[in-house]
Amino acid sequence: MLDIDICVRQGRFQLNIQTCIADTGITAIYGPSGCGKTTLLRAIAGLTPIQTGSIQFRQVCWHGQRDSMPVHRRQLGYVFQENSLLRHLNVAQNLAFAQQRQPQLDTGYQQELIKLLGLQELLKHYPTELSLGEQQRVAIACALLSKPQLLLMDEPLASLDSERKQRILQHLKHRSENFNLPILYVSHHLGEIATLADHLLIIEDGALTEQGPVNTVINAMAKPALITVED
Amino acid sequence: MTLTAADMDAIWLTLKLASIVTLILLMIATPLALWLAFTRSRLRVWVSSFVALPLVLPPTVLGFYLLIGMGPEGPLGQLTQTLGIGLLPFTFAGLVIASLFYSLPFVVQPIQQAFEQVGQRPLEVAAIMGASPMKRFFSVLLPLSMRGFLSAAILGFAHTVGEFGVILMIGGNIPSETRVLSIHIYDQVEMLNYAQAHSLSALLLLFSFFVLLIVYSLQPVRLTGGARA
Repeated sequence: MLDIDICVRQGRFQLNIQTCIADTGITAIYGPSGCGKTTLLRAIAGLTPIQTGSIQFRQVCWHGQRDSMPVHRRQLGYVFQENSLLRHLNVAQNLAFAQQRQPQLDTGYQQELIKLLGLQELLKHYPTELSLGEQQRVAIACALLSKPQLLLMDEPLASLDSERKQRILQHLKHRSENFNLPILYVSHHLGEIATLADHLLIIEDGALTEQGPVNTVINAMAKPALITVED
Repeated sequence: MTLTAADMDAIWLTLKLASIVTLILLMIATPLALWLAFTRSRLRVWVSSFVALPLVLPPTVLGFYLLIGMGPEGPLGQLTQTLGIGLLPFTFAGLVIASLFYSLPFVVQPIQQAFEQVGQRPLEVAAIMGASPMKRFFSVLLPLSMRGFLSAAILGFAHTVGEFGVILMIGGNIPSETRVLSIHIYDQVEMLNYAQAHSLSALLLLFSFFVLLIVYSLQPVRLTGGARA
């Protein structure tokens, strides 16, 4: 389980979340812009200071009253909305850097991801030479190759075409189910959430408003304003 | 243009001073710039202002307070006396200490700006990928801000070479000990030895111009790498 009980203040914005997230399958996080989805992911990763509260993942304290586990020890993967790569390294070097927690490069899985994400032609290129979609594909490969215990993804597929998106979604689902890898997935796309996620959290104005199995929550959503965000 | 033994002495002393000061300053300025670039502390503006002081302060004022501070009654002077080093004014070591203060902003600011330009994101990405703070510094921050370090080293070196007022205040004019190039030129002019003063001044002028040429050609727009959109 991922137990979260946190209060994060950023200027006038305040995020207050108390919840227990399943440590299996894919949990989607949905809500209007500026509601705190990204702040929640950053707080879980340890990138945004938490004023009060605690975070525990699989009985290990990541953030407590007294101390906080450093980001590099949390064994996370994180695909940011943009700029998820090291711009002084080319794609191949980014993929290698992402695997530093492992004693040896996992060349088998790396080749599989390079093929799945269509990175063959990009390996020698630097991030600044890539389109946004290409950068995101490399970032997804890096996150998966870093062998995370928990994968955080902040609208990772927004810049991708729908055919590739479907293949990546299937791979994420497969990876999550077969490798005991929980994924927290922020998306603005309810269709994507319905096909991908097992659980759904809805956040509004810095607070959790709904939580549960994805179909139940989507069916129960009484607020048409939220549903119209789907494109 | 012929250089006398005294000229060569002054040139050698100046290069020695600037090299030592630049090396020490890079070591002091790096953690300071790191803190200034990323801290959220309220002390930041105070420390920034203190670091920038030599940019606006007349060198004679800085030299005067250093002279007092390193003198027999000053805190630094008492410390050096207790440690058995003696007093620092009118010694080469005194020049080094004074130059550290005098050239500090020229080294801190380019490094700080380079760190700020790199920003938090690459460090966050590296931390997420499992890089420890040391690895983040050496494998990410340092390579991404290398131009800032080069600018800092060149500016720190050149600024120390051009130092005059502070040195006159605390170093005097002792041959082979504190008589650096700028003071030596001043001496030549005082002695109406214009030809010699001219040779040395032209040398410094050329040196300064090429330093700036290098610094400006290090600007990101001119180079490939980080500037691709």
